[in-house]
Amino acid sequence: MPCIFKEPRAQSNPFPQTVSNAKYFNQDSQGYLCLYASKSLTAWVLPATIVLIETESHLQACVIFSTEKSALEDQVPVTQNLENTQRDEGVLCSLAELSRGQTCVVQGTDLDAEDEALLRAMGVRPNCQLRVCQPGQPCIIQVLSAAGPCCRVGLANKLAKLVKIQISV
Amino acid sequence: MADSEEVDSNPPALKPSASVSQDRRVVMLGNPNTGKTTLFNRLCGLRHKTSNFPGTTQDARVGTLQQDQGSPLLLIDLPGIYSMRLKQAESVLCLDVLKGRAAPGSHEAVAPDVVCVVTEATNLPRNLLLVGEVLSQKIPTVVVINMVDEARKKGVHADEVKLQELLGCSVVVCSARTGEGVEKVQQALLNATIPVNAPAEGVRALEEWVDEVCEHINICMDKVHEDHLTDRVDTALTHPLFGGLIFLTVMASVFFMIFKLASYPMEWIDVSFSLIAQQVRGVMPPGILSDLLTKGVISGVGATAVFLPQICILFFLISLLEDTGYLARASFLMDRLLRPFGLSGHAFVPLLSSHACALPGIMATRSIPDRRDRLATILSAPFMSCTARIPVYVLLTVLLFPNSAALQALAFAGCYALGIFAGVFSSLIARRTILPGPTRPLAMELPPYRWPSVRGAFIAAWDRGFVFLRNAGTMILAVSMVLWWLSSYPMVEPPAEARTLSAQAEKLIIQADNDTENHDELVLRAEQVQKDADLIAAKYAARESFIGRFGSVAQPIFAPLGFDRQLTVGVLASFAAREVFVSTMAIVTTGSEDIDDQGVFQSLRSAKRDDGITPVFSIPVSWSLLVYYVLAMQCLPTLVVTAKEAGSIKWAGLQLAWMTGLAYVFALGAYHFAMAMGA
Repeated sequence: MPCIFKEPRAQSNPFPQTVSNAKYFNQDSQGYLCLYASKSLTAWVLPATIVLIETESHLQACVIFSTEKSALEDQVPVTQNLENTQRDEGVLCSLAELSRGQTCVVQGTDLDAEDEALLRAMGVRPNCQLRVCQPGQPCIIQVLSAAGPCCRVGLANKLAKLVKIQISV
Repeated sequence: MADSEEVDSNPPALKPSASVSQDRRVVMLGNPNTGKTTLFNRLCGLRHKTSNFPGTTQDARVGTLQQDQGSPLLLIDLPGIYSMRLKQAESVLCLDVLKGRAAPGSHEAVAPDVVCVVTEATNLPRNLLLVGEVLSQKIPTVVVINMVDEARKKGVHADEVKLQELLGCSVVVCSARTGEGVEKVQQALLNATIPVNAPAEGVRALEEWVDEVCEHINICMDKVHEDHLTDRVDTALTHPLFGGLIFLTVMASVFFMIFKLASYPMEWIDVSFSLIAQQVRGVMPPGILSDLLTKGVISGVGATAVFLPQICILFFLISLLEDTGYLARASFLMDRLLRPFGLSGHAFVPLLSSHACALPGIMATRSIPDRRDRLATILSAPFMSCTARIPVYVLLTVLLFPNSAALQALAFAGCYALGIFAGVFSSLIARRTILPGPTRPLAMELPPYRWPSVRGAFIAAWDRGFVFLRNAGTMILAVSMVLWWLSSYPMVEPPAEARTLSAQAEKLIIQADNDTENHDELVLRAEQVQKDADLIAAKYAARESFIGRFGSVAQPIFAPLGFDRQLTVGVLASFAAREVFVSTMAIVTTGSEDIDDQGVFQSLRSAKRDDGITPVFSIPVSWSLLVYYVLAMQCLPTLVVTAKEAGSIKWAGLQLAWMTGLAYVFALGAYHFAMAMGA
C-alpha cells in the first residue's frame, strides 16, 4: 500500500528534508509532530498526523500533513524506513527522497548561492527534468532534455536533500 | 546530428572579423568532458607547452596551429569550466582571458582574436549556457559541436544551420577523436566573426535564451532510451563494498605498473647518467670543474630525471582512467572515506598523484573548488609516500629485515599506510583548528563511459613529465650543486692514516712490478689498501666539510632519535630532497656514492659510528629513521609549490613545522619503543 504523503504548500518550510530517514516520532508540547532520525536528533517539525498501516510483511508509516494539530501517542517507533516508499506523482519533496528510476521537475533549491550556481551551470536548474539513476550516497541523477538524457551528475546526499522537486510521470 | 559536410562554416550573412592580426590568438573554452583537449591535441599535436598565468596558480596549454598560408595561429587551451559566472578560480581566469586581463606565460594580456567554444553534441542544451556567456563578450566566436560520431550512434539530431543563424556565429560539427570535420574547424577559426546575437544579461535570461534556442533547433533523439547499463555500472562502482574492491584492484594495478614498468626505464636513466659522468670524468682533467659537473650537475639532473618514468606512467594511467569516466566515480567512493577527515572526494586525484610526487599532487588541488578543502589537501599531500622516499624505504627495510623479503614488503607497505594515516589525521587536525567549517558536499558531473584515448594519454604524460622536469629539476639541480659545494668544501688534506696507507699501496705496486711471481696478489693487496685509504680520506673530508661541521653542531638535536653525527649529516643534506639521503650516507660512511654496488650496501650495514664500535644503523635507529622519513618534510620544491599554491609562505612554514615536528615525535617514540622491546 503506497504511503499517502502530502504536504501543505502554505507551510513556511514545506520541504521535509530528512523525513525519509525518520525512525521515531512524537508530539511536542505545542502539538507539533517531531520526526527523529535517531532518538537524539530532531529531524523535522511540522503539524501532521501519522497513520500506521499494517501490511502483510511490515508496518508502514503514512504521514498526512495538515495545519491542524493532532493528538498522537508519544514515542511511537516506526519500523519501516520511509525511504523505501514510493512518493505519489505531483508531490513536492526533496530530490533525496526519490527512488531509482523516478523522474521529477526541479522547483528550486535551498542551497547556498555558490552550490546553486554550480548546479545551475551543470544543467540542474528550475523547470529542468531529472531522472534518478541511483538514490542515496551519492545521489546520481540524469538531466533530461527534449532530446532525451543529457548529462549525469553525482550529488552528495546532503545537497540532494536541498533540491526541491515535483515528482513527474 | 547532420554530417559536417552539410554545415557552411562561413555563411555570407555573417560579418567578417574586425581585425586580422599577424599572430591571431585563439582561446579554446568549453565545459569539462567535451573533448576540448582532444581537439587541441588534434590541432596542435606536440607543438605546445604548458604556461603559467603570471601571478596565479593556473596554467594553460599553449600551442601553434600551422597554416598552409599565412602566419600560424596561437591556440590557448583554457581549463574546462561550466560557467564564467562561478567564483571558482578557473572560471574567473577564463573571464579574465576573454576580457584581455590575463594571458599565459610571456604573452601580452590582450583580448583574444577568436574564441572557440567546444560543445558536446549529445549535451548541447547544457553547453549552450556557456556559449551564451561567450557570445555576450562580443568577440569573434566559433562554436564547435564535438563528438558528432557519438551523437550519431545515439541518434541525436539538431539543426546546426538554424543554430548558426540563431547564434550569429560560425558553427562547425566535428569529431576530434576521429578527426572528422577538424579541417573545417581550422578554416572556421580563420574566418571567425563577431556574433550578431547574444542573450540578455542575467542568469534567468540566459536560461530562457537557451530554452528558446533549443526549441528552434529541434534537438531530438531517434529513440529515447534509459541507460540502465550505466545505472548498474554506476551503482557497482560507487557501492561501498563492491566499489571499494574494484577501487583497490584498480589502484593495485596502477601502483604495480608505476613501480614495475617504471623500474626498467629508471634503471636505463640511472645507468645513462652514470656513463655520462664517467665520460666527463675521463675527458676532463681532475679538479673543481670536473667535480662540479659530475657530482653536482650530472648527478643532480640524474637524481631528478630518474623519477620521470614513474611520473609519466602515473599521469598516463590517470589520463586513461579519467577518459573512461572511472575517476569521477572513484571520487565519490573516496568522498565517503575522506569526508570524516575533513577532505572531499575532490582530494582523491591530488592524493593519488602525490604518491608519485607531491609537486603535481599539490598542483592538482586547483580543481578543488572550496578553499579550505583545498588547503587541507595541500597540507595532507606531502605525507603520501612519493617515489623519492622509495630509496630510503628500500635501504632501511633491507637493513631491518636482511633475511626476510616478506617482512621487508610488510614494512614497506606499513610506510605507505603510515603516510596515508598521517595525511588524513593532519587534515582532521587542520579542519578542527585552523580551517574550521564543514567540508563542502561533492557535486560532480559523471561523464559517460568511453574508451580512453591512448594518444591523449601519451600527450598528457609528456606534458606532465615536462612540467615536472622543469619545476622540480631546476630546483633540485640548484640544490644539488649547493649541497655538492657544502659537502666538498673546504677541501682538506687526507689525514696521516690515509697518507700512510696510500704510501703503502704505492710500495706494493712497486714490489709487484719487480716480483713477477706474486704480481697479481700484490696488485690486489695494493688496490685494497688504496681503497681503505680513500675511505678514510672521504670520511675525514665529509666530517671536515661545511655540512659535516654543521652536522656536528646539529647532532645534539637528533641525538634523542638515536642519530649520530653521520646520520645527522645525511638528514641535513637531504633536507632539500630526501632522495639524496642514501647517496649522502654512502659517501659519509663508505666514501662511495654508488648505492647499487652490493658491497657498498653491505658496507652501510656494517658502518660504524665515530667510536668505531657502535653500528650506525642499529635496529632502533633504523626504525626511528624510517618513521622520520615517512613523516618528515624533506623536500624544498614541495615547500616552494605549497607557498605558491596556497597563496602564502606561512602555509609552507606551517607544513614544514608540522611535518618535521610530527616526524620528530613519532621517530622518538619508535626509537624508544624499539629500545624497550630489546631490539
